[in-house]
Amino acid sequence: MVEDRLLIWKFKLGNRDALRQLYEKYKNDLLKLAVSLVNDISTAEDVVQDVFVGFAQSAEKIQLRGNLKKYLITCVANRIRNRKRDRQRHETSGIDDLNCTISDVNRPEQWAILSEELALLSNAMAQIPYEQREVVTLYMQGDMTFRQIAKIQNASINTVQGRYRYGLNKLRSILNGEIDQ
Amino acid sequence: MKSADEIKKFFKSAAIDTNPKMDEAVLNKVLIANEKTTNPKSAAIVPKLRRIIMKSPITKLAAAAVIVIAVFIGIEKFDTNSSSVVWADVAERFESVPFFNITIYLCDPSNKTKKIEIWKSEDSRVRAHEGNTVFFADFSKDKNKFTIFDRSTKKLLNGDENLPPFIWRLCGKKGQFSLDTLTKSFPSDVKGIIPLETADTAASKETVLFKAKAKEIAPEALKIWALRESKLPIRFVVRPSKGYYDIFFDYSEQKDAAFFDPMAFTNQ
Repeated sequence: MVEDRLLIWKFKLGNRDALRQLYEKYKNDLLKLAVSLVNDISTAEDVVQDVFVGFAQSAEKIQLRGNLKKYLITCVANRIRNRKRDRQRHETSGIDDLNCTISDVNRPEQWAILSEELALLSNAMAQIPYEQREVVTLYMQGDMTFRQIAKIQNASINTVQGRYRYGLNKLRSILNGEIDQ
Repeated sequence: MKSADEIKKFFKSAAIDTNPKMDEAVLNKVLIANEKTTNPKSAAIVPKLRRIIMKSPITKLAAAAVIVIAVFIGIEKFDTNSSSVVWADVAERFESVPFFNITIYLCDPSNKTKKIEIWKSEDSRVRAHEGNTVFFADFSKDKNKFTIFDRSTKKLLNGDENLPPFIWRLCGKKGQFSLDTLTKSFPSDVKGIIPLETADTAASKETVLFKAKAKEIAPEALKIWALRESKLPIRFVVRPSKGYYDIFFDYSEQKDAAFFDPMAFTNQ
């Protein structure tokens, strides 16, 4: 936390190395979160890249207070939410209704390289409704509280807790099924 | 896999790695984006400053106070600059004034008081009174020629020797009235004239007070008042060690041509 504040302070003063360090520190966490949320590597990569570019452009606005990791996670969640909304407007199927699963074959220009567990998890997550998926991912992976997630989802804490329970139960049964196979 | 903790562990253990080549490419994009936005820094300073000011009532109040003080200082400075008058402005303006009347109350060292009056016309003709003597001059023709009469008998008096020394010094030598010749006519050695700083009063908004520049001359030894807007002198007070001069300037009335004509005077 203190280290983050120091890096942000340096970054605000124009230190490029500080930005590089922040990027190195959080890229994997954000990619993993994005992959869990969208089950599409290229979309996840685009989203994380956009978040970092947006962050790099907002040196003037970034404040020293607060938790940077949670801020970046919220940015990722919001961007995915926006993309989902945009796609739903233009297409009949959104990223929520994915028929595809993550391919084992890596593209040459692919940024994220997923472990088997993550690919399995991402495919399992894709089978639960997006709101539930978002709550489970942000809670399990992003270490966010239900209150913080409720704020992102613009819902009550009870609703969020309910989504978590349903999501977790479904994920558990899917993973049990997958693992048992 | 039953409990939430186990699923959480599964979440944490699910690893991800990145392609170093792509990693570098993405980082480059990020750095370029950062560079593009940090260069025009000056444009971003104003909104940032506004955010800081508007953040709390104290900063708002402080900003308002700074603005008010700046406005007052600006007005004060503008006011001073726009209406500051130096002696050279007054002297120059007096030489360009078309007509005037000067009344001089003179108390010589022997405590004898005299009143001298001088009128100048638009065409540079001069008439002066001192005691029982009347003087006429036409500076447009002959700068050193005075016609002098006895005021009561209207008899022509011969020669410039009848011209009182003060008027001779004032008008006769250069043939032109100027504040320079006037100040040099005084017994005190006036070396320079500068504005005297006065309290901000109603009168000080309309008049400027001058004093002698030399430190050895007491402030009360020479005082000159001039109008701030027109830059015309209106009063001189000169107090040498003995006696005094009190001089009033009037620009309100122009006498007709006959007033400056010696023949008309004698024919009255």
